[in-house]
Amino acid sequence: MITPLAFLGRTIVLMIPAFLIWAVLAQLLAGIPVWLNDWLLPQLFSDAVRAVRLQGSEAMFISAFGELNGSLVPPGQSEDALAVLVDTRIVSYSIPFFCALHFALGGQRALGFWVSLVVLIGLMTLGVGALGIMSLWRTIGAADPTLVRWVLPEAEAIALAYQFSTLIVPSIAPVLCWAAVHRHHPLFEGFSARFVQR
Amino acid sequence: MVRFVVVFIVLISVLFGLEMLNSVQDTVVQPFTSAIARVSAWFVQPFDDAVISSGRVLRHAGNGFAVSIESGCNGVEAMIVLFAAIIAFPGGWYHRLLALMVGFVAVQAMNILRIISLFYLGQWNLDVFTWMHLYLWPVLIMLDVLIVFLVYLRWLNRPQMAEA
Repeated sequence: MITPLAFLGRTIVLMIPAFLIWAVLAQLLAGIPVWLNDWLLPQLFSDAVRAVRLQGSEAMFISAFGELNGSLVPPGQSEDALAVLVDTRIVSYSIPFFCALHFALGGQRALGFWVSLVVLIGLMTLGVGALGIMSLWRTIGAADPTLVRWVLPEAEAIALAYQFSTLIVPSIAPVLCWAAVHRHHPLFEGFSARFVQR
Repeated sequence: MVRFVVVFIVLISVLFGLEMLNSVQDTVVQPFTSAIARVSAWFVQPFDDAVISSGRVLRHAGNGFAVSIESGCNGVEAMIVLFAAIIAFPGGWYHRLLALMVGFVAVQAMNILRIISLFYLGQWNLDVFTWMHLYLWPVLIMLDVLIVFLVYLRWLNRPQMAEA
């Protein structure tokens, strides 16, 4: 039976190839979240977000706001569009982390593995969206706070979504997915039994 | 087990929401973060007396390089996750409290190691600093939390295994 420390050792060793592959495939991994945000955000915030594009492994959020004579102007008053770049790897590192955890226990349960990847990419999509909205809010809000109030959610809601998406979800979601997939593994011996006892 | 998941998620959401409140930030989180900066400096000073802490900032008096310990870098979120997992899991309060104390030490020891390593990595190479800061250290801290929880599970289960 594998001990927690042996599991830790295996995971750390597997993190090396997992993160190397992730670094190489970062652009590919960013593709789906960027595509989904390009479809979703212009519908949700049509007055603020015009499109989302992939640039390397970064997501470029093209706003509806423009620039005229050196000043930021509301939508429709300029042909230029203000855009912000977001590093998708801030949220996509959940994928190599999950892979290292999964394969540290032998890599069985293929269905659970693939379902977890879909879940993580879904969460990554929300995270990239939150990062983009936060960046737009900060950039536009810094230039003219009145401009953002009527096109984006409340500052507190954006801040909470941003913090939750970047601080909690990318590191905890892989662990929860892994625990769900491997809940019957001997590493969790006593976990289920404890609930049965109650 | 459904109860565990529900309580865990509710606790994380409530505690994370509380952590975001300005009053909690001012009275608990920021002073705690400043204390972490002081402890980090205290660990480094025997080897490098040019390191000083000021509030949440760790600074090198020689080259002027400084890091500011912000939200997400103080180990509070990791402690919230560990707290939620331990409280949500069935167990006696004595065991829970002991696990929380051990977990606090394990998480903060790792976090201080993170801060010190980032402080020196930043002086050496900013690209490596960014990689470690944004992508690798959050994973290692959460791995630390996971291992503490797995050891706690094994520890709780030990008497039953011995009886069997």
